Amino acid sequence: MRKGIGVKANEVAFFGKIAASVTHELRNVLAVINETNGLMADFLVMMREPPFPYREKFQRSVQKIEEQVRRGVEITSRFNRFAHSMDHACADIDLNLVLTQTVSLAQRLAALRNVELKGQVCDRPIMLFTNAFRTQMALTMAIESFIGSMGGSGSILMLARDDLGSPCLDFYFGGESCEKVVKEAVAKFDEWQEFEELASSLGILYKWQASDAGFVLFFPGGQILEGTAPSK
Amino acid sequence: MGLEILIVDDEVEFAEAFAERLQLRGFTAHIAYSGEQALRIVDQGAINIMVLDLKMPGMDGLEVLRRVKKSHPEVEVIMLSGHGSEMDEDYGRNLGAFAYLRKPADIGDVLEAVKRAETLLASRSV
Repeated sequence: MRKGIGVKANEVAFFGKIAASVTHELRNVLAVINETNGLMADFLVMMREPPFPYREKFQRSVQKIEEQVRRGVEITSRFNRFAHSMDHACADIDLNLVLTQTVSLAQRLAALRNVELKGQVCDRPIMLFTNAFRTQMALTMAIESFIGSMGGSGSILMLARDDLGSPCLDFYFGGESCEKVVKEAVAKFDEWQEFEELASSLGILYKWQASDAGFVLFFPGGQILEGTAPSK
Repeated sequence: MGLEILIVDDEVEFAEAFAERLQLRGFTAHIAYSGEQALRIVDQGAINIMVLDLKMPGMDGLEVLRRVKKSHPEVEVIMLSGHGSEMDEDYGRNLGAFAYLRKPADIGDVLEAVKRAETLLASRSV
């Protein structure tokens, strides 16, 4: 968000509500395409005689439509979850889920700059009581700042983990040193300040070490649950 | 057992293509484009399985489900929706829905749910 554009909580919720509704409609469109394509595939199976000269081309086309429907479903599902993250000012949410969601939405931004973005979840739920939408926004701001400092190639791995009972998120950079990436990101003062302000308002702390592999975000107040699988 | 399946969905193109695919697989498929129409068809007594969309104009799917399970508990209902939340799914199951699938669903998943419903119906008629 650029400075000077103040958006109220109820406006964000309104945007989320409309966006969620639109993704539902898109699901219906995809369902119609999927079913009609499935029907064509059924007919193709039934057309045994006489030999159909374009059978293979038809089959390939049907498969392509099927793949694209699947892709469309994944994209709309992600966007739908993102839209619903605006539903509540604060809620219990698993950091693993926030990480997965943010990475999947920001992967396209990274790919456009030839940067590969990946996420790795913790093997246990990391529960935060926070604003999911703003947390995703803070993470995306950090990702964008780092991508902008990577010179058009490389990779970023985000790793959620338990740091002696305290939840944290590591950023590892491939193809560039952590020192260079973070220093350049911080040097873009306005952008970094926006990230810092937002992170600070959410109680997120960060540290990085020139000698170490990563940049780390800490989520004080978060709770790592024992003996259970991460949320889906 | 010749199963009679009722598809309840206000998306005309979806319902028609879906019904045709079920017919190609040997089922008798009927279509209702609204909740009210669905209830009228179920009242005629021939339907075994209902594949029900949740969000429709007028009477929504959950209300249709509630009424069908009250008046015709023998009808097995598969919810199929692109709109539903986990809460809707839980609510639907509490009302007696047999299965819950998300749109667009794989035909294999639909057939598997239909097969399970068929087994249940057959065990009840013994």
